[in-house]
Amino acid sequence: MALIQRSLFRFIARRGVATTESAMATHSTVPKMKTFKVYRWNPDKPAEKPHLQTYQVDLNECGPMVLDALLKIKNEQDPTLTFRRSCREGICGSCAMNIEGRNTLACLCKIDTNVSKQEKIYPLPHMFIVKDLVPDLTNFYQQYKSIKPYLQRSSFPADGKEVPQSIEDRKKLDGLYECILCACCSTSCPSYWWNQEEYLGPAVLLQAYRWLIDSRDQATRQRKDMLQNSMSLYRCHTIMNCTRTCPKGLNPGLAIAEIKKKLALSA
Amino acid sequence: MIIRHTRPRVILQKRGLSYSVPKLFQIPLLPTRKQKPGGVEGDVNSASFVPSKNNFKGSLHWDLERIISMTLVPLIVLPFITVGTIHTITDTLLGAMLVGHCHIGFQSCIIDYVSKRVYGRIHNYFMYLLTVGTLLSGVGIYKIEVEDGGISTVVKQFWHD
Repeated sequence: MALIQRSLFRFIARRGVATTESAMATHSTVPKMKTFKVYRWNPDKPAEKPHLQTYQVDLNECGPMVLDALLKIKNEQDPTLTFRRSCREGICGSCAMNIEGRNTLACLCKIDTNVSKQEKIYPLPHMFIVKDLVPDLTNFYQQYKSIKPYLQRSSFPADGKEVPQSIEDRKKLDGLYECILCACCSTSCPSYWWNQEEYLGPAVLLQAYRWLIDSRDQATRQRKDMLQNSMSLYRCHTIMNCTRTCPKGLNPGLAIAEIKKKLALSA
Repeated sequence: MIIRHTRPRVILQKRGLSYSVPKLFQIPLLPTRKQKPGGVEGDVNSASFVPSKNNFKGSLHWDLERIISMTLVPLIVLPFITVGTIHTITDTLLGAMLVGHCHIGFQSCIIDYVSKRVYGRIHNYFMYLLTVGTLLSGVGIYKIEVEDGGISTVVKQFWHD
């Protein structure tokens, strides 16, 4: 018993020494100062033009993702910096922004550890800006509402409330239901840049397709009819920026092509 | 550190918004219609406007576009390797499909960049201009087919002065 006690004590002691040593090691390392250039615009001073503000962050004291850096800047350097964030794990889609020229979620985007390079952060491109990195997504959500993103049925099974679905039919929704509507794809689409008031954009069309192929939905006719015009769907010119930029790895371009195929053969 | 006091603002009542690009592409000298503030109509809970159904602007137009594009693939080669009646037929088809292909392509450009939403009546004028252009090139293609022995013959002449 005494032996065990002694060895345990020795183990703890050694661990303790090791911890203090490593703490001292991080303390003495040279700071890795990374420069972030963040787009700023203040609605209270609308006459002032938007500009890039420079912040320095020590990467040794900061988490690995761009969102960590933004939070660190907001907490420690500039509380006026404004951006949306919520889940910090890529499931809410709040922190969508343009980082190093690519639309992505700040919480899923690693900071480039090369400190000689500056990291530029802009809001989603071609959107109206409420403040700093916060774009106005009202139009985007209105478009999402217009496709009626919910189950539409005229009849329900008599035996109960549940509408059953086969495993195969459920599998068709994989790669579609994961979309978190962060608007990264829509705002990367040049066609959406030119005509966002009328063209629905990849994110909303992916959702339109998700409800078109849902085996439980009975409003397929109406869903197809609302896309039968020159603007809503057919402004897609298969540029495929949407698929390239999607932070969730989905394929809105494919979904739009599938809708076109469905409409082409049914008319 | 100074914490700037921002008064609560209702975005839709007072759309003091900036645009994340300096300026949208606009064709110089052309008058534009007044746009909805922030590109939005109604409040945050209203759905966006759904245009009326028109298959000729939707799927049928797309079908036609794809059919023309697909038929052009063999038609680009056939008139050059055939002779006699088949040559005449394929060459005439190539001419017709080329005119259709160009018309649809330019139409798409006009819808994208001279949209009715922004330019109003000018959009229609561009469409009329395109139709006139297509008709004129149709006449030109007809003349080439009848008088010069077809498009492929004219193209071949480039290599024999």
